[in-house]
Amino acid sequence: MMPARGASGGSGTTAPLSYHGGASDGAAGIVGVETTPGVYVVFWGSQWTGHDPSGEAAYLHSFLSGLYQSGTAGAASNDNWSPATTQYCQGVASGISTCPSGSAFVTAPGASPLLGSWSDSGTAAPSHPSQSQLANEAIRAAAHFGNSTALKNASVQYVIATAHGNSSRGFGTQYCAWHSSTSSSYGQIAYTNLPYITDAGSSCGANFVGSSNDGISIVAGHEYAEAVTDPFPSTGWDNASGYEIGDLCAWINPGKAGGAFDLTISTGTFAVQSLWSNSFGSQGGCVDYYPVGGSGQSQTPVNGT
Amino acid sequence: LATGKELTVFLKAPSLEGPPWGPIEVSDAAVLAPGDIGGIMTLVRGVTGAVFSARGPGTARLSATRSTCGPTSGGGPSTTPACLQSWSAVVIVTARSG
Repeated sequence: MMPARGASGGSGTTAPLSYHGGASDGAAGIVGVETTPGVYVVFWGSQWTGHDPSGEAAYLHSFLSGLYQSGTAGAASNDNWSPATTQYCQGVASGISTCPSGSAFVTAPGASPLLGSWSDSGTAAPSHPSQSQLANEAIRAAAHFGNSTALKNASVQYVIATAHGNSSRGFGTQYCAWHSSTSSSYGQIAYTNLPYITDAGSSCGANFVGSSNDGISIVAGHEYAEAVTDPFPSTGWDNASGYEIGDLCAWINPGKAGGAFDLTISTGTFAVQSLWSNSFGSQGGCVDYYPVGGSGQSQTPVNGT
Repeated sequence: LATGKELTVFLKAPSLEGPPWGPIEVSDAAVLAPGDIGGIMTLVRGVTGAVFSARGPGTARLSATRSTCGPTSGGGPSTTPACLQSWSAVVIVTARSG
């Protein structure tokens, strides 16, 4: 029997992630990870104007702007979660699961990875955007931010956030969000479809750790980490079943090993899920704590729970 | 299902707190091949999903299991037969239409 590509929450699948060779991206060469991660957020459509009942725009902005920022070593406000992505790399042989020293690793940026946000509210977004409409909005965002070459887009992602009641079909019953990529005259564009997460209630994480807005950062963080390590699915880091860094650790209850927890960073406290680390223990695992450099990574949360 | 078409499957556990369905497996990948889910999803809590491409005429069985018992002492789901709920579906793939 052959397992299908897909995902299931906390599935217990433990095969390591392996590199799938990357994708050819014009002048940017072969791209398999975001080596210097950057993220742009687009609040798409006039439906956002004066109508954000859960305060998702500000919450998402705060969460993403605090990622990777590290002040004093060991400080409680450091982001010791997203650096789990920094063990993965590109430019290595397909099938490899451990990046040799000297590889082109994902690096922790010295400043916030949030490079910009855009309220594209001049007209209404489609009431239920299709995948192609979301992809086109990501291309529009690349143009808006002046990222008109493959090189400029090789290490960034675009989060297309849709407004309350304005989500693509299947949201809340099948999925909470997804990421993908599209080709364009600006090179390959990595983007995420991020619906108005709180519209789905507990199905997409409301109160999963303790706050009604938990799902926003859990889901956005899941997609963010996956877009960093597999920006052009599925040419980056996946396991044999197609699971990515977030899929393997999704929806593990708080308090369990690798469970979701509250991450305190310089911009606030946000619920996140753990991320898969090939380098944890002898077989890998879902880690809650992975400081820059990876020394002392842990499956037991040090923040929250 | 005509050759060349895609089939997306979502299995939902009875409750958000219960164990989800395990990976959806296919008996014959030459008939129904695991495909790209078209954007990698954060699935809704309790949902397992997969997408398949109809590759050639024939019959393939999709199947999955979930544990209905509590976790074992080791923390993993119990896999004793009495604890396993099974799901399966037979998919008939026909020649490409037209």
